[in-house]
Amino acid sequence: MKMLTKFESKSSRAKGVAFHPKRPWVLVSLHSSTIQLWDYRMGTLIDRFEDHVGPVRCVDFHPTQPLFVSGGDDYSIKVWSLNTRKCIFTLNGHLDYIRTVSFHKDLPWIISCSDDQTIRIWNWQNRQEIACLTGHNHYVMSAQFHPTEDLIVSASLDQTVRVWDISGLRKKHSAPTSSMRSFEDQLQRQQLPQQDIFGNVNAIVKYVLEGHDKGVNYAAFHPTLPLIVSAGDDRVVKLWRMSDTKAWEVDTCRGHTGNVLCAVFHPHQDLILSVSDDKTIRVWDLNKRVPIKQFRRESDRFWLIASHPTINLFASCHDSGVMVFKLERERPAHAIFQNKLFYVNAEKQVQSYDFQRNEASLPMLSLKKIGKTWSFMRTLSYNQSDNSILVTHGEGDSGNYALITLPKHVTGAIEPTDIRQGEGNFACFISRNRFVAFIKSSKTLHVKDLSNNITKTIQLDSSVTDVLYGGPGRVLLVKSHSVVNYDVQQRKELAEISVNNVKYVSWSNDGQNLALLSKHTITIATKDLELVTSMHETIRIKSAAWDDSGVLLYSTLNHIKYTLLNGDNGIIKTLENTLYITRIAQKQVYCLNRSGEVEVVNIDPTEYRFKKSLVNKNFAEVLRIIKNSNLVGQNIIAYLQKKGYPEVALQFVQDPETRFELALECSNINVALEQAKILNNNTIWEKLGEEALNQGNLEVVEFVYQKLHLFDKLAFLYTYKGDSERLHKMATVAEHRGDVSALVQNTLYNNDVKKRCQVYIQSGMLPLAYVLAKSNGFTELAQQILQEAGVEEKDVELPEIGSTVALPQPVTEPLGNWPLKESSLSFFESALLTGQVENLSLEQSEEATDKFVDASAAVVDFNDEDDALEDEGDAWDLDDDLDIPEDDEIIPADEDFPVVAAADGEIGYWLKNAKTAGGYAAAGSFEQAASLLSKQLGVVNFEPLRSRFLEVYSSSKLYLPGIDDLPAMKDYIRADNDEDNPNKFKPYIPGFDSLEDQLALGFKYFNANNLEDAISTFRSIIYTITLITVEDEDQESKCKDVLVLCREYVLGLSIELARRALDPNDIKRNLELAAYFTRAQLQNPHKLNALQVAMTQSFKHKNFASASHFADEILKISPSGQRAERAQKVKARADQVASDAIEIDFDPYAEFDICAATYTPIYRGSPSVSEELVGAKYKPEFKGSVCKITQITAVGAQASGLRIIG
Amino acid sequence: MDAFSDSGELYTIRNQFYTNQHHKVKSYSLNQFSPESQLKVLEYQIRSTIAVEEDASQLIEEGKSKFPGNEDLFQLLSAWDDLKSFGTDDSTYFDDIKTASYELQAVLTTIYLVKLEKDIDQAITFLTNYIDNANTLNKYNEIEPFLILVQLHLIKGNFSAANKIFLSFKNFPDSARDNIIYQVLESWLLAIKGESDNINNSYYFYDELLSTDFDDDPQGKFKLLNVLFVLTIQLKHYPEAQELLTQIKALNQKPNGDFIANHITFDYLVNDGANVDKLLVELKEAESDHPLLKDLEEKNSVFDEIVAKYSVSA
Repeated sequence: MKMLTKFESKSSRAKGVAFHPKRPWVLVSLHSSTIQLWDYRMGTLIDRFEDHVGPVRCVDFHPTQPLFVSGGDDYSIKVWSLNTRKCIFTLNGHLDYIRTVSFHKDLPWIISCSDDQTIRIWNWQNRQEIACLTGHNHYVMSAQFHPTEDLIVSASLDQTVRVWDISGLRKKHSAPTSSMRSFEDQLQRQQLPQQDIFGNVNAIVKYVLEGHDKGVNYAAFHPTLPLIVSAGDDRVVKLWRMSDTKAWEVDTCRGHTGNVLCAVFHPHQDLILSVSDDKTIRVWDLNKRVPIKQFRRESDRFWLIASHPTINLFASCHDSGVMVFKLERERPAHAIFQNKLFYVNAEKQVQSYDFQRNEASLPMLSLKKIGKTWSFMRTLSYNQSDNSILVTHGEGDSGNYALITLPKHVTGAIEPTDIRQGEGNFACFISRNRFVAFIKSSKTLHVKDLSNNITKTIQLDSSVTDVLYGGPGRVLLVKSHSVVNYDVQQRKELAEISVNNVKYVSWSNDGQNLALLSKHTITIATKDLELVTSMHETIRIKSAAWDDSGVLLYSTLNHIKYTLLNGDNGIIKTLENTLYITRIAQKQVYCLNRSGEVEVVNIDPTEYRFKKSLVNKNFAEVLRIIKNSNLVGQNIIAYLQKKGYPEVALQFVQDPETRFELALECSNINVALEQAKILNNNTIWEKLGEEALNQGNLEVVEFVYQKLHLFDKLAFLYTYKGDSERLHKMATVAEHRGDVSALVQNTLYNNDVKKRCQVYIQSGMLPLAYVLAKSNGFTELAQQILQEAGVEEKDVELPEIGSTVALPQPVTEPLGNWPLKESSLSFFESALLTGQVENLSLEQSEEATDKFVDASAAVVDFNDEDDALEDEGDAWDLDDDLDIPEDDEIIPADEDFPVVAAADGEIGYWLKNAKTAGGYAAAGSFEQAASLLSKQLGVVNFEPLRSRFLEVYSSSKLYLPGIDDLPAMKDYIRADNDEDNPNKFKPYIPGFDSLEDQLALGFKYFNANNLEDAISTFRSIIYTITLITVEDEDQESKCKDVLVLCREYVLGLSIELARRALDPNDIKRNLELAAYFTRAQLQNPHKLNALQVAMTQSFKHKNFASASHFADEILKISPSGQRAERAQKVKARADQVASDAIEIDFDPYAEFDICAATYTPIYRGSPSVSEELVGAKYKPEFKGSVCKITQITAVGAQASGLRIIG
Repeated sequence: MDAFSDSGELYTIRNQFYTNQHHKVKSYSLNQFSPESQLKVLEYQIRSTIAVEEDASQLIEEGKSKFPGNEDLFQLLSAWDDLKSFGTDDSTYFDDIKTASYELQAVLTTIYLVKLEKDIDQAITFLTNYIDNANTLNKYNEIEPFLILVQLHLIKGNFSAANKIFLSFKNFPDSARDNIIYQVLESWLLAIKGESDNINNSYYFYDELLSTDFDDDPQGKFKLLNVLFVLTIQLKHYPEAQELLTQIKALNQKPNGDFIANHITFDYLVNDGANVDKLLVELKEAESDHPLLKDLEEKNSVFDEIVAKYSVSA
């Protein structure tokens, strides 16, 4: 068992502590009179409450209301509001220090106990004391309500623990108050606080538990069982049991060396926790009453321990603060193999969960007897090759691993039979027949085989603190400031990355990236440990898993979040309880909770998919998401703006103000103008005018100036635009407005001297008017002015006047908008306008195609031979190495797939979902089917496939009759009628279910010696499989087996037919063909036929050695019976001569293939070519010819192989 | 009161008409109905008579004299009768109709366009035109055109268009959905939409019809069993389909192209297509221009091209 500290506060002596039922808060009451409220997750002090005088010994949160209560040495009980953070009221009554105080679970009651030897119950709603329980004759150190029954347990320094029955009190307080009580009544009640007017007793002592030799400091009820635990100054913890009628002492837990100040039950495990002033916290087994674990602080005495009501958390007070801790890790050990999750549940049983079916298996194996009772399974590794698991458990020096084979059939949690154990703090499989175990104390890494023998020992650097899975053949060595990728086979460090205190690793599904998890940091690196990104979380990081598109989802204590490889991250979901993510499939996140159960959390992946698409510039996807999801929110808009995609953000925003800003940002004047019209606010118009001016969009500028009544600017605009017409209007406007100065300005712009003169005159500026008139040659006007002013011309002295200035004329039409370069619309703008996403070509992000291979399934066996001297007995099972090439991912499969013209309805779905030639044929797309077959198999002669094509096509079509006189409606047969996702609709393709029957038919023909029909039946089976769709790998491998079987029968029977057709004089060839026929891999009864023919022919033609060989072969298969007798006879006769009369090309002891064209052997090592569909072998000269077996495929054609999983 | 509603006197006859129970439709006497319903009853009876391939001219004549002022209707019915009896329409009545002016005209003309002109697209356009121009009130009462239109779309395999029409019934008053036509239409769409529950629901609709008395109506029963045969195959309930096949054969009706076509599919599914060649011959005799034959012809020629394209000149 391990004790994990989650939070520690530093303060003066802490006397009381309480957990908030929902939030991550603890209240701590200090000896110094302060009450603190801490967030233990974030480690922050939220508030301090100071109203008590002197030490505060006890606090408690209300289970549902935002209240808490405290009691102190000032004899007072205070009730506080968490909302206002203030003391609401004080309950006075106790006459001495208050030791404990707590709320009732559902009644509005508070219980308190005090050194005044009483226990009191208060109603916090009407703020009255409703009962005072007397009986203890010393300080009452603790008192608490029973969680469900009307009982109280109290502990006192009078050396007793008392159980009180308060059902009377409940009765009284739930009874309706019928009428006003008389003064006398009330007086009486006051005097006899334990009795009401009916003589009901509020509380009676039910049991007095005597057994402690000194004062008892604490007593507590078990949450569900009729048990009480008590702690005393006699240094012991006692366990008591009670029935309805009596209570008795069960046992005593001895071990503390000081006064035991508090003891509580674990809320859901069979454990007792106690604290003492001997500076230890001890954990005891409730059933065996033996110590399990102890934790010691150097210089602090412990005062109290409290448990969280629901979570596995405890808080204890000591001389210098509070510590919050949990017992044992809660991360269920688990491992994923393909679509299965293997995990250890809360009962320490191994279970599996099928991600495809979304269901958990029964428990399959019990691990209860592995390790000690309370040891926890920390890690689990699964090996598929022998269906075994490797678990580690225990801490430090007692860390061990166990290798156990899982039962073949899950029938319930059985006890393991074959356990291979050993020392190790970490262990995992690194190949299908090797695992590693790391021993921390000696820093050694053992490589072991499945029989638990060490095949190799590696002494690691002393700085290695832990080891993690590193992919096939590798491990990650964890050091305190770095992680090393280590190749166990070569004993070589491949790469190193700097990262602190890594605890877990999560590999991406394609094996290209890994996430290293520390307490507060996630570091993402490539498989070569090159840093990709790193991020910090303030809340503890619990787990991480990759989704198929390479987004990392991780969980913290209270969130599921995501991060992209560029470090962009966000919250996906808030969690009520901590979860450990194991796998992500589309919108479902498969998690394990702390009770060891799988929980499926539905998430909305839109946001991170959107961001990822944006980051990868996969704009088509971005657009699809914009169109199909309601992705909104400031968050996304801000993100888009930050990433430089204001035009995308523009698509989301409704709010005109934001739209306006975004439009300006992407220089979209039109949108900005629309928004400005809506907003119609001067500042907005100004901004728009400025931007429009910058862009030279004079129309908008003009509009804005008009809107803002900026006449001066408007006039100037018209001037430089050369728009004299409007300029004149401006003059008129100015005149109307009586704005003289503007008018003068306008006359300057349009050189209207007369007008200006008039203005001057009107304004009484006659000299100016005169000069102007005079200098511009308006003599008459000048005269008039003189007259008006009453002066003579000669009185005015004018300087030399030059010629009048002419107003320059605009060259052409008034200026229009400044021509801007025709800008192409951004991808999004055009896409959103046209709605055509597909045609836009943009590079798509490349998806890594190579799949990650789990170590246990790794194809390459790991070789750890240290040197050649090791004896061969330890060699690897080499035979296994042959069945390697399942590497179907090497073929760039998609190239094979033809582009299909879109179709509608059911056929459309079928075409879209087609993955096999059969799928295309059923959907009626014969061309595509043919093209696929040509690429996959090299089919060149399609004619024999015609009827199969038509069969596949017709088998899924129906005609549903409707109205008479109209043709029937098209109806379809689907592969799976229970499928409701159109993206999985597939046509029904017959054939798989009747394979057995067809084979039986072929065998029947064989037995009836009807070889031609047998051959054509087997061939038709080959055609059936050529155009089939199966559901899974099992079915696929069955089909492939059947193909091989058919090949052998077609080949063997063809040889036999050829033999029968021979010229009877060609004895040599006859014998050869008979011999080759025996080499066809027929089923045993059929092989006997072949051997019989060969034996008879050989014997007949005096090839006795051969005859004897075939007889031997017959006897191997059929050691008794008629046939065997005959073979024995032949053998006996043949062995007398034991030589062959005719030499034939047949070496009974050599391995060879038979050329399907010439029916001659191709010995090992000789050149040959093969055919793709059934794998028939030919001599090289037949390359390019049509295969004799299938009659449809070309020999030696370039082909990618048949794919039939649909 | 609506004569077609549950309690209306036309309810039963209409249900029978639209579920191919033509013999029952014919067997009513006009006097059983109130005078205002008699014309409609006669219309159904004439159509049923034509449907079971009997000559309805006498009925039409009687109708003309009994219900004067409905010349339009009787002219249409008589053209329809001629068409069915003689195979061609001498009067070029249907050819002259460019736009339909009332429901039955629209329905029959559409069928004419498909059956004789073989022009489904034109038929769809024609019918859509009529529906679009019909006023809303009529639209809710006249839903036979929708039925035809849905079938036309489904003949073309255009499920989404058909489904769209079906979904538009959501906007219709509830009473429209009680209509037998709606139920028939729904049964088709459910079947073609696929998925076990849907097909089953469609199946039950017809299965329930089967429980009505078909003893003296082998033709009606044949049609019903035919539909059930399709649905059973679709559900892959092969033994039940085999049972239906036996029942259908026992009815000894004249060969039906759709039935043979479905039998071919069934033979592929349970018999590896052993009887397909024989059945194809039957189909050619029964209905030489059945869509399946055309389809197979097309597929074979595509296949010929494939054979030619990939063959190596060896």
